[in-house]
Amino acid sequence: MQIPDYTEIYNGDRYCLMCRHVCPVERVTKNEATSPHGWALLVASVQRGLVDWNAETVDTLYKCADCGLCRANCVTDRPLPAAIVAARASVVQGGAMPESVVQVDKLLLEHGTPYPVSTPQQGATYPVSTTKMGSIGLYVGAATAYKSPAGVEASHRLMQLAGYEPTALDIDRSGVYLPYTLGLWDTARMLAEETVRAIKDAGVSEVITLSNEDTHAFLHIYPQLGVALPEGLTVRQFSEWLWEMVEAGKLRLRPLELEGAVYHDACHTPRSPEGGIAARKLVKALTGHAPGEMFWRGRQAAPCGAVGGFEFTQPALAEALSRARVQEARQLGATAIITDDPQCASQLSLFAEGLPVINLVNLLAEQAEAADVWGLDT
Amino acid sequence: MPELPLQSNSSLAFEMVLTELADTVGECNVSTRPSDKLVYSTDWSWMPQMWLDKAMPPPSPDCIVRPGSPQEVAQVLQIANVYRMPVVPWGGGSGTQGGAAPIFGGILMDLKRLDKIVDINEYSLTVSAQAGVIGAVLEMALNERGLTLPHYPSSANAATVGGYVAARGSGVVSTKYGKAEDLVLSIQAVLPDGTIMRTPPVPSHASGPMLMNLFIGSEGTMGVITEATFQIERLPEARVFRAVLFDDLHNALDAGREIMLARLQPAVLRLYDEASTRSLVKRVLNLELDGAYLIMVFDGFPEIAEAQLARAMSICERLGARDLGPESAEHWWEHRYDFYYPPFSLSLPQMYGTIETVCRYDNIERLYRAKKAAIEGGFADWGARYIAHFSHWFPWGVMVYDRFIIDEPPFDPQEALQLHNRIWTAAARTSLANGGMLNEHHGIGFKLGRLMREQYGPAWPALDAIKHTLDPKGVMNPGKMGFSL
Repeated sequence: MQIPDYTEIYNGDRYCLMCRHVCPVERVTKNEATSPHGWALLVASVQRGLVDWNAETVDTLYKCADCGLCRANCVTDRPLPAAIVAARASVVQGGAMPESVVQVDKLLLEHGTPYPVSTPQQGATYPVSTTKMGSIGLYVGAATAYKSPAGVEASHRLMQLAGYEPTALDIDRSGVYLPYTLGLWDTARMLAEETVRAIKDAGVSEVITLSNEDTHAFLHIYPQLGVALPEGLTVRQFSEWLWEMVEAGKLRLRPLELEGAVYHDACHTPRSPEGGIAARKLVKALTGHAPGEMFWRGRQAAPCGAVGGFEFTQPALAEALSRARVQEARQLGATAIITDDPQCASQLSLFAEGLPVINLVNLLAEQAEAADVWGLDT
Repeated sequence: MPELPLQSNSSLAFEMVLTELADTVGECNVSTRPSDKLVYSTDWSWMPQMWLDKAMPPPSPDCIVRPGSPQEVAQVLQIANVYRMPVVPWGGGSGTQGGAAPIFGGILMDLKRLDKIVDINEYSLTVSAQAGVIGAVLEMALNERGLTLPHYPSSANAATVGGYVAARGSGVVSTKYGKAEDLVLSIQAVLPDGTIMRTPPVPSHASGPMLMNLFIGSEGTMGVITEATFQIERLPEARVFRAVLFDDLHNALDAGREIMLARLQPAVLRLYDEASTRSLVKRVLNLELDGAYLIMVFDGFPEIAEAQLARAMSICERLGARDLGPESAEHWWEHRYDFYYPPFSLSLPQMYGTIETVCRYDNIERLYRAKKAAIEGGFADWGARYIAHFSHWFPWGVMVYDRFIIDEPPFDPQEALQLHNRIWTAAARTSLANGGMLNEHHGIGFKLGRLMREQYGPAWPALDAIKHTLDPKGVMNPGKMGFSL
């Protein structure tokens, strides 16, 4: 695959400091080398022969979270995240990638996922089937299936309660974001093509994603990889779809007491202008009030660490990002963190140390069972 | 005279330094990684950036250290004194004069771990923040409470609180609210020997000289600023905008002077000369205008701001201005930082420099024309262009934010650097000869240090002596501000 030439981006951005304050990695490392201009300067310097790709410089390159914050906060919309990932792809092509990336690639090629396969919930709970009321696919992805089986089940249940029987997609197969962000573009393309085939086979016309990284992948990465989605296919995040069901009266929410929870915008939210809006509406509809807000939110929302393939390549950075997010919530006096992304909920839970982390979808589904008021509003 | 600082990074002594630094700030906060040294080898100044562009590595720090408290800053300085190692304080790295460039290597002290907003006092309207807090982040925190630190430099997304003060910066509303030096009330600083000190809690008193002023604009040569307290404001209820166009710069400058002498307190008076109006305003704001374009912003209570604007407009109209309405001024306000994003910002391989200065009103037009002639005439062989705007106005005078630009500079880096220096020298001497200063708010760094003695004349030895009394071993940011080594 041809790697796009981002030389103008590296050269232009190497001395631009305008987005550094929103870079979540720089905020935890306090290191200019791991900031947007630092990565651009590094690649530009490699291009000039000032430094080469070695274990140390490659490690620095893989410290970018690929969270999209720099671009979302750039008034001239510079595609620096894509340029950094392209540099990683170039490193992979040159064979200089970190060993952790080699291992992920091996697992993806052999099993389609870097996570343990054949988890009990697969197959039995979410058979590939046709929909009852429209052709909707619930895009699960191996990461979400592995990290949040309860969240997947809750999502499925909510869709059924709204009167839909979705087709579950990619339970055993990794989403495209992981190999893409690690620079494994050939693997990413292969997975993307398999997913497109699965979508076509299922005959779905709308895909609902549980994790923001998958929404980002469908909307932005597939085109970059040159993989076309089926014509007319729409892709939406689950909270947006759920809110539409609530507004349409297809789902009823019984009030719930939930004081002091703050909302965590899922990773990649800055990439979507509508990101987090539907989820906040759902929280308000459920609790009667808007959730508390983090300092870093919306277009400047800090990721929780479930980004950039960090769990495989930079676990210490992933932890630092998670802890920073938890600390931010604690400083606000939060009683809980609430989010609509199962991967974020899973990641934050690892480091929340007594602070409850709530997957909004689970909460909605739990309330339905406890209150027993779910059903079609016909 | 102190000895030249230790410079070897391969000696046993350097290994001792690293050990002691790691014991002080923690191993993870000391780095000798090549990619870290690469990025810290340049601040936002043209010279080291140009070297990197030409694949010539500029001097880099021997190590990068990130202290997390004033006490750790003090201990690092004590270590540096023992080993006579240069210490270069680094805030946001957004200086354009090389003030944070580690030209002698040594310890680069990145202060961004000092990132606490210590206190927001809503009763007296003050804010105290550690030196490493990024300006934009502080502003976001204040805005959440309906407050603002009215210091909006184009570098706010990058510059730190410490850098605001140490570089004596200015922002787009300085005409009403003052520069960083006018907003700061007190500081905590660590002296070169490691003493942690605070200046008096208020800036206005008759209890001796203003000790704080030694550190304002000192660019890390007198010590390390670790905390600053500023006066803040409530967010204005209203901002009113208007743009006007003058046929020529002369009347436009006179209008600005009269507005200021009438004490109308504009938050923004931004006057572009004819060349900037033709190029920059067209390119970034998409306005095709011929003349001198003036933006005015008044803020505060709406009825007062409207009245101030009305008075200002009558002055402008009397001097022949054409009213362009509020839209383009509002557009400028919304996009005021766009000029600094690629691809709008000046960039390599261009050669450029902001040679700005400040003087009294009676000198400004002569100074402006003399500098234009010095640049465009003196360096015509290189096709040097000169553009200017007048953006920070005082009751007694105005600064001219002027730049030179050469689109096709010499390819050879040494030749390019020499030409760059020659232009800067010509521009600075023209400023001095016409009642101006070397600089108004970008600072001195190592770019203009050689001219400090010329500017201060007989007063210079006194300033140099103060520096060496505070820093007898010369560890603090050597090679900057023109201080002798």
